[in-house]
Amino acid sequence: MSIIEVKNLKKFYKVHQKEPGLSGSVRSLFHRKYNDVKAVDNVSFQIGEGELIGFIGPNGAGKTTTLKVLSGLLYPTSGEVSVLGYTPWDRKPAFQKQFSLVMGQKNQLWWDLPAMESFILNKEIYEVPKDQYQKTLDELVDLLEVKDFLKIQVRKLSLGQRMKMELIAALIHSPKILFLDEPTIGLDVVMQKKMRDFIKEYNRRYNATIILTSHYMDDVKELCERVIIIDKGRVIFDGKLDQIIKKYANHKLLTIVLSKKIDETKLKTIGVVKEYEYPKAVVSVKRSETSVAAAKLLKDFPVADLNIEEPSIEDIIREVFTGEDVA
Amino acid sequence: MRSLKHFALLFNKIYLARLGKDFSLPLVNQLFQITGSFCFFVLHLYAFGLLINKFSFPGWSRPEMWVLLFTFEIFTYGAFYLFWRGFNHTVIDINSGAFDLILAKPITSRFLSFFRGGGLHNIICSFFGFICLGVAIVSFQIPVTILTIFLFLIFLSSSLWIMFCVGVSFISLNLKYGRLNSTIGAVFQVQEAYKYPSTAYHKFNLMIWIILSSLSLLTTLPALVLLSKPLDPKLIALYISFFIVSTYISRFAWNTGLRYYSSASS
Repeated sequence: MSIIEVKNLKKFYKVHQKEPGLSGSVRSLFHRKYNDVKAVDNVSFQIGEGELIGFIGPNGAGKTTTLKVLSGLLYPTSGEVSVLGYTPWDRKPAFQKQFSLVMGQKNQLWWDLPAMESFILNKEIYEVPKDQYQKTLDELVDLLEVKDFLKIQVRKLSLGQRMKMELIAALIHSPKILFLDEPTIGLDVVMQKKMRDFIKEYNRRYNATIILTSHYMDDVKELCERVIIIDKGRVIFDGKLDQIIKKYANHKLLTIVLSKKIDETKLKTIGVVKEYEYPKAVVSVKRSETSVAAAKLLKDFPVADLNIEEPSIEDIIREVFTGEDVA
Repeated sequence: MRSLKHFALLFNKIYLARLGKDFSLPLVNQLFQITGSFCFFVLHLYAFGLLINKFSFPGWSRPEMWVLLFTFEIFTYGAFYLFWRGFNHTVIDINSGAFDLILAKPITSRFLSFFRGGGLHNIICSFFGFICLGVAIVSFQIPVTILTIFLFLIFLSSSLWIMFCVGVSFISLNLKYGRLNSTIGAVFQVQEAYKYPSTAYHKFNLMIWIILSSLSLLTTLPALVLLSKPLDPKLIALYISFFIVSTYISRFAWNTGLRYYSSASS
């Protein structure tokens, strides 16, 4: 059963365009020019309970706008949205107590006070019973390993520690749905891994539905079985992650280790040379011609080793975004 | 009732947390603020004393003007304590997108936006105002009763509510039009109008009289009640109308503004 249903969602903006300089500013006082921006253009999807969805797209694709409509922050231009049976922009407290929004580039914690103060405030705002609050807090603190930082002013915490505290503040009321907008942005690789592990564990333990937007493909690969790709306000793919490869990757990569140095132009007769630094070469060939290309390489070239691979998810997604051929 | 209790509890938590934050800053910060506010308070009294020595306001004796001044001080510092931070930060948050996190919370956004705690120095100066008011009552032998004090506090609270509604109405414009810095200043620039009794504006035409008198009643009416002076029914009607209209307009402006809110880019 779907707990999030989006049908033909549209969100259009008028954005003011100003000419540079003082004269441009004065002119705009009397005659303002506007650009129409189609941030979300006829998006539809359904999400079931407990799913962990990756919502990916290039900058300006409409990911965050969609999340903001789902969490009731924005009124749509048109379309229908139902989250847990509620219309989000009605902003009913009963609905708002069941979801949480974490934005990687914004924080809700009081800057000059220990994070604990913000947790207590959130407990009151969400009317979380005392024993439930303590239990949830203890579990989250344990999962995120932040016991020693609870009484330190937020402004004195590192970015990674602060993000962990943001997550706790967002989860103190045990929401059923989590909207995570770039939660790992700016974090180092170790902290990114810890955040991913936490999100995975939270999803597993509490069966929370999680929609995650991220520009880091490692986040998507590790966490999301299903991805929705959005570009220029439209959904261009909605399905399992491995289906992206089948749908969009019409090439394979042949990684060759040569036993003898050869001219690069000879490799070009096999396919598109992606990389050549002796003894290693990487050649991209059409999926349908892989076996023929492999046979030719082994027959006509001094090959010490040959490996056939799918292109990386990152390359495929880049191809989808830019419309360029990965080959 | 449960809802009122919830708001009261939250209000308490927010304002205590803000005070806690003020106390966590270096002591010199508090000393600077308190000293600055106290100096402003004293200079204000001095300047006002010069003014009322030179000018008179119809229907108001000098002792009564002092009562009005101290009512003004209590009211102004009280408003600063309750709303100033909220008004400022709401405009900043709307334009930075941080307002999203307020809007996502299961409590009316007007409450969370505007009630964010106040500076320690404001509450101290408001307290000075009460002390000075008490001294004025005793010095000028102004007869007060429990009832007049109670009504004074009721009308003062109503005036603070009206001030809040006026502020929300102005700040709501930011939801649609983006950063309008002038709206914050406009909210508090109107304080010039309520520094003087409503009788000061009797020479203006009707339209201006309505606007200025409505604002002046924010402090005049509580002072009149404390002084047990007769209340003009026209002024009572004006005050009640101001209360109702400002409440309605602020709610309408805020809810309409939210429909236009477009957040900020991530």
